[in-house]
Amino acid sequence: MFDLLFQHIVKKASLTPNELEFLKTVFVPKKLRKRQYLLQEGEVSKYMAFVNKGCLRAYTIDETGREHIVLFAIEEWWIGDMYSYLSGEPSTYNIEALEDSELLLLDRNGQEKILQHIPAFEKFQRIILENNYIATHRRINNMMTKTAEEKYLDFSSRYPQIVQRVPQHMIASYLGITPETLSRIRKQIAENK
Amino acid sequence: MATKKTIAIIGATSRIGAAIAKMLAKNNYRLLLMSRQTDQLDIIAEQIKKRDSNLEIEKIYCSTEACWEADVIILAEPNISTKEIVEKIKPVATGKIVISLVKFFNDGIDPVPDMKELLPYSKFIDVFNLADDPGFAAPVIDEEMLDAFIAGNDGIESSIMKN
Repeated sequence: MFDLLFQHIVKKASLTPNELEFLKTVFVPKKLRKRQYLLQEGEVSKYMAFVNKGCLRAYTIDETGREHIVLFAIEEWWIGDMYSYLSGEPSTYNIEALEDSELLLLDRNGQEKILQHIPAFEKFQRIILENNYIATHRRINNMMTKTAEEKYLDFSSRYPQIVQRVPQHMIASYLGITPETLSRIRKQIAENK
Repeated sequence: MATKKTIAIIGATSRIGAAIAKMLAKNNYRLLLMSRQTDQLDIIAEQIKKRDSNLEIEKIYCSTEACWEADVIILAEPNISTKEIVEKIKPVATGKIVISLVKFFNDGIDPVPDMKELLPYSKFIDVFNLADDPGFAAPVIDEEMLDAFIAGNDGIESSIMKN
């Protein structure tokens, strides 16, 4: 159950076997069925979730009732509303399982405990946040400056597994384009091959 | 809007397990009824669903699966099997609320006294007395029994809500 998490952590920071064992006493194993929610709008996000298996999405709903997907998460990714988790304010996100999923949840207390016991974990966290910053910045830049086709090509070359596992209309929502535009783009790409 | 909590009742076919299931079904929880007695489980699930077909009630035959999905775990298995079950569910019970009703199978004498030690990373809640009612030992759990049960049992409800 913890193999993927451990692999994920030791790629970024060296933890001893004992330290890794300690993590087992803190992370909460949670199984979600497809379409179940980890978090709903208005709740305070208690956990950051590591995806051991499965696929989830985080989305917001605007005043007209339209969904906007903020991010996806698949194996070895993290998902959660970091803002709500850190500030304790109610979340604006809904986090839903798109497939039956297995998660390992970490709450603030657990995180503090880990940091007290395992100094190297701080390095792991730092690297995660750095990567998160880079990805977020890239996404903002893409959203603002790239054409629909460029956005799709960037996304599908970076995250082909997500393109395979997630319905097309959701990819369109994530990229901020209409499903029709995405259909057209994909058709053009297929024809140009 | 708070996400519906998932509550696993391990031993849902025992008298007390069934009673707790019926009580909790009145509130907005997703219930996982776990028992290896499949026929009995069918009966109890049907009884609960009959009251309200919108309820999220599921029958599960494996305690590990039930506890893995659960946010709250209620142990309502008679004493002999409880220790085995606790060992089995331990890896998926970390960080979760575990409510033990095991005492009620044994006239209040805790047959697994070190239960809290067996699940050191869970939030353990011991229920000392439901209703201070000797009538609780009645052989039949029916509507009247349930009311007395609920009256003395706010402790369970509020622990679940608080956490």
